[in-house]
Amino acid sequence: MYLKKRFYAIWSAVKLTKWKIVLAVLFILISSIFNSVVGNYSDNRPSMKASDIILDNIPSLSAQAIFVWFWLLVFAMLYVYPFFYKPEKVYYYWSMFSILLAVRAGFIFLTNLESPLGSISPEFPDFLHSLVFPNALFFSGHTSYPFLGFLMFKKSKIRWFFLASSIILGFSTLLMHLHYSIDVFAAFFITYGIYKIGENLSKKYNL
Amino acid sequence: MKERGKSYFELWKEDFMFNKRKLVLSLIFVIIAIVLNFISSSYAQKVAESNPPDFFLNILPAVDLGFIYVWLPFVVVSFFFVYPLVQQPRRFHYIVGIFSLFLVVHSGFVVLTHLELPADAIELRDVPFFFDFFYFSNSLFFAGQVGFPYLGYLIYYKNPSIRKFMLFSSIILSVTVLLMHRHYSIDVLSAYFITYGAYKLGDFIFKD
Repeated sequence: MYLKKRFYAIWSAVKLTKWKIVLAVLFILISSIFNSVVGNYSDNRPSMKASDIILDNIPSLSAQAIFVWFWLLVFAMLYVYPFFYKPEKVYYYWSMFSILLAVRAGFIFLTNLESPLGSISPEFPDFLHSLVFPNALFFSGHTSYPFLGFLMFKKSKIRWFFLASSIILGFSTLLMHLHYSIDVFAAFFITYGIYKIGENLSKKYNL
Repeated sequence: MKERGKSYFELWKEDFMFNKRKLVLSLIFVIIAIVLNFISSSYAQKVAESNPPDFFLNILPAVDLGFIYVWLPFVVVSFFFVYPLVQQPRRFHYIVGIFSLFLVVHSGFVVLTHLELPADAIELRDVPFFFDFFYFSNSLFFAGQVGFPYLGYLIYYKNPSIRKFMLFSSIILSVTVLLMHRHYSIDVLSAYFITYGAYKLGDFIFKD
């Protein structure tokens, strides 16, 4: 009975904001396309490796299960959880993800570092292979996505899960030598900035 | 400027020493931050060996704007510290504290990934004798010359003239470092985000 009521409450909230959700999906699609174009560009232009104080001092270790499967779980949770947290604001949370994607694509476009020495290729499922770009490094999406979840879902205890995920995933990218340390550490700052921009825009335009 | 027979200087001294303990702590903190920054930048200077291609540096011609590059930061630093010293002495510990945190964050980033000065960077000429003491060409990520005036913009947000000057300086220095090919674009753009984060953290720690 409770579940049925809950489901109807979510469904009504979604129905009320359906056009905003459609718009948010559109933003996500545009940002994803932008991300793919830039990712391809970064993999095909000249690039250069750099030394790194953390990577140079830790051996490459495979953390495939965390890097691939835990990441996919966190990613799915980030998109589904808003339905249970504030169903009337799903469009807002999804739009924030689209801003993060777009800003990340913008950064990737700028300076072209090559994936670090000793990096272990992640084994994503076949259908996701076309979305993986080894030189799309700055800044780390594995770190920033869950950290954005931590900042956004501030009234829920799940935020601590997202903060822990952000640290674990950031650490796994370093263990596998798939990101430089500036990619991981700067991700926290840039994500916080993006969150504040989104929050201010939302307050200003009453979204 | 006199109140109950006190001179301006006496009033200023009272205000300056109002948060004596916090002031002393912030001064200790800034000394530690300067030393840390010196050590991390010296380290980066030795180990950096990679100069990757960069979108903006590839399309922008290298232009010598050495005068702005060297002197504008000095004007910014002077404003940054002299203004609160004269006008807001009670707030001086707060400003020094946030500046120290900014320096510590900068030092932390500088040691991480080692990028070398872009290959076609314009060489600096006619720099003052003290410039070499705190300037390190491979101390690249993130751009302190951009972040520092932006920090001034955030701290002096309630003062329109200083706020505008700081933001304007930050933008001018962003363009200057890119045109002189002395920073990569990620150094410049991320400086705004990292400085904002450092400011919020500093505001949380040092606010009365």
